[in-house]
Amino acid sequence: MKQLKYDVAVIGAGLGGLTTAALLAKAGFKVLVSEKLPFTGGRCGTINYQGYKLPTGTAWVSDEVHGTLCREVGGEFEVRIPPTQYFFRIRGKDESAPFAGLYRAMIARAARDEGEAGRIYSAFKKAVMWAEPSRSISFYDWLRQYTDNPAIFGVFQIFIEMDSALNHSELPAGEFFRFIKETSFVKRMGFAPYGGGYVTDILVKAIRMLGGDVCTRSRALKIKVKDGNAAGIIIRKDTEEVEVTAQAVVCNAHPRVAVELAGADKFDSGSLKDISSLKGSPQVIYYITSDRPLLEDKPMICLPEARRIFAIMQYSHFCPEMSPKGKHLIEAAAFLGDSNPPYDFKKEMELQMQDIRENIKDFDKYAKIMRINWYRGPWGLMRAWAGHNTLPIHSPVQGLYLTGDSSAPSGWWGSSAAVKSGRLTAEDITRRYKPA
Amino acid sequence: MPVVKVNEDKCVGCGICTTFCPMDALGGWGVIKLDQNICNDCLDCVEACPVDALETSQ
Repeated sequence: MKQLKYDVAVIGAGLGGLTTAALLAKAGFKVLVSEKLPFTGGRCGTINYQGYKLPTGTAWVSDEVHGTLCREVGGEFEVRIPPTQYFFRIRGKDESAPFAGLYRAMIARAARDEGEAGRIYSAFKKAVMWAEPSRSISFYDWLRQYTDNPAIFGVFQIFIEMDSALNHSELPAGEFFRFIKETSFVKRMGFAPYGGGYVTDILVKAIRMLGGDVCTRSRALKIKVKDGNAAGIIIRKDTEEVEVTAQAVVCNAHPRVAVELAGADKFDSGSLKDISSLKGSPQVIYYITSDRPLLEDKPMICLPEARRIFAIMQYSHFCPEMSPKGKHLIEAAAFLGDSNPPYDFKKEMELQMQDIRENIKDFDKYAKIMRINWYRGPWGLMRAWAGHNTLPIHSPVQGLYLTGDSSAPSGWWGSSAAVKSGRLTAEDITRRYKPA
Repeated sequence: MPVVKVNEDKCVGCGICTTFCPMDALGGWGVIKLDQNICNDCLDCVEACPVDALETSQ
């Protein structure tokens, strides 16, 4: 078998794995990222399809989290903040929403009167500034103490669904406020110019520039464990098997893959239980194309009163590179009635389509659905339900790290969680190992 | 020749395979369906599936 030697081997070229690899390459480590798929980025990637650029998951990034990382490893970064503000369609009217002071503004616009708005905002502020609410109740149960106004619930459902891919009745109340506190430094949030692949492409390029390797179509077959320590991986590149020796192994594939590849006997029962109880958070994304703009001049409309679709984004408005000249790409995102499987595909689709027809003018006349992407199970939009189960980056096998959104601190969700987890992994490796 | 099949227990409906299929033989939502009459057994979808739900049999 062919033999290769690296300082660190990373399984999976998702955002978490690439973050770790890029930071380690910058610190002088020789890294290999082995990706089984023909493309990099995982759910933070972009696929070219019929002249369009379709995100494989998130396209929603921030200058503070993603931009700082890209610049740190030598890349240039740009976030597209829509030139006009977001809109919330409430009681038939499109209310513009500012990014600064968004929560307060939206509570005020959805409230029936000033008294209701004041009551909710005071409780909200206290939960942020003073006592974090309990994790034994959901955000829905927390909010119900202050209002029964469906428009307020709808507004918070959008905030929660957009960042955690869960319903407000499924997110622990305390976790929502932890998220607000942990991410309060994020001010410049927007869209990556051509979807999540914009960020992961920068990282792949940086890793290669810094002397590391990123290989696609390379499936990890085994994590080698020697005397209780991770010692490397065996990969299949094309038809050839290659043995990679490394001081540490980072698994950015689903933690269940780490168990399969290293062997369940190497994990303790608590860790196995935590890993097997990970649940992916589901969402459904519609990619819609058209020859004309369908949301007038609005880049993004949020729908607090719809059945399933919570946001419609007209990418062509701020990311023209995502569609061929003269064509428009629109994304409609839907939550599911219950994030727990099994899902009633037919019923969910009927509700999603009703919302799309009601909220996109002349949909049947001018629009075409290009793709309907489901995210669920092991390919959920996020690997772990926010606030439910967070794994440590350290697996029970010494030198084997579990990296990705399911191994991030409380309050970190989605692609920011992947970056955070990747950073923590890189920092830990830098402390414990030295480049050969 | 290997024959490609969708393992419906594993498929999550992410649709990535449909964007790799040169024949447009894959479609649907929730769970992906493969039209065996169009499929040319190139196996590009097998390689592109993130959850290994496209399987080959002889």
